[in-house]
Amino acid sequence: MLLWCFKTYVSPNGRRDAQHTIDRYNDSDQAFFSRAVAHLATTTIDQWHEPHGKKLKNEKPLFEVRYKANRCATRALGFFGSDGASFIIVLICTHKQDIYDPPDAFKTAHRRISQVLSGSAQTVPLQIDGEDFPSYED
Amino acid sequence: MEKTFLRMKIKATVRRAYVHAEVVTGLAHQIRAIRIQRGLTQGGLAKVMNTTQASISRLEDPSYGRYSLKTLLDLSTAFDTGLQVRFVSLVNMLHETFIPNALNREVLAFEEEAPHVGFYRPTISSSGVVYIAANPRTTVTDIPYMNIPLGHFQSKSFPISISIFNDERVSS
Repeated sequence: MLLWCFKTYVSPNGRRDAQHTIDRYNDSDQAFFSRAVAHLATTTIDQWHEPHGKKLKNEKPLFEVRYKANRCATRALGFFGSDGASFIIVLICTHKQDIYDPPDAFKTAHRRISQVLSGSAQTVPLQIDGEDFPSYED
Repeated sequence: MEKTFLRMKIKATVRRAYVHAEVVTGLAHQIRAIRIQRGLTQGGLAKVMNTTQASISRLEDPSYGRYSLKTLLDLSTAFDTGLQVRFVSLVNMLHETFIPNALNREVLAFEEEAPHVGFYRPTISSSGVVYIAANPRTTVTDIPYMNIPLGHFQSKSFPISISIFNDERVSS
């Protein structure tokens, strides 16, 4: 059973950076990302542990989805929506030896979360292959 | 699921990528879930398997994704579970795995399950027999003569279905 639907951040001027990053993945990277999301979508928050997902220490309310893309450890940073049914991805970055790239990833993620919560930025359903993912219809 | 299926029809690389990603991601999640179900730390499981904590950590990491058949068999021994490795229709795999079922990750150890399993001998009983299928995909004919007490599965919150048959095996 799906516990979480996944959404992505849309900036005030309409940019969808996270979705565009995902759309550019090759077949293998997209498969690994989508399966990571699919399995976490049926996993309760208390089971979002490494190496699949993680609550970021001292960065409340940030969580990350962990997967590999372009041969790099990659993180989709996001937060759980107040509706109790959604996880909103606000930024995708890489992670190597405790260093996130871009270096201001957390700062940007927190700013985007504030924008979403204040209503100045929007969210739209995450899409894989051009359809909402994961979908309750499946 | 439909668009993923359509992409699979067009590109073999999409099919291969899905199988690879789902197998390693699903296994990693299940290994972690069963280890926690057994009350073991990664170090504790490593001790049981005579390996290192780092090795167990890698087995739970989908990014690692290299499982040997021997390692899987060693895990099934450590967990006291069965293990099925077989080729299946990719269409069926897509259908069954596209939205994973987290409830299916945990598996009882044989020694925990065995005391609750009994066998029905049709020559002994002349009237109604209760068959209980522990898995909703299992049909009664898949488990002839097996009778598992209802209470056990209720307490474990297992999905169950019950069919009651008389000697002519007519559902009532």
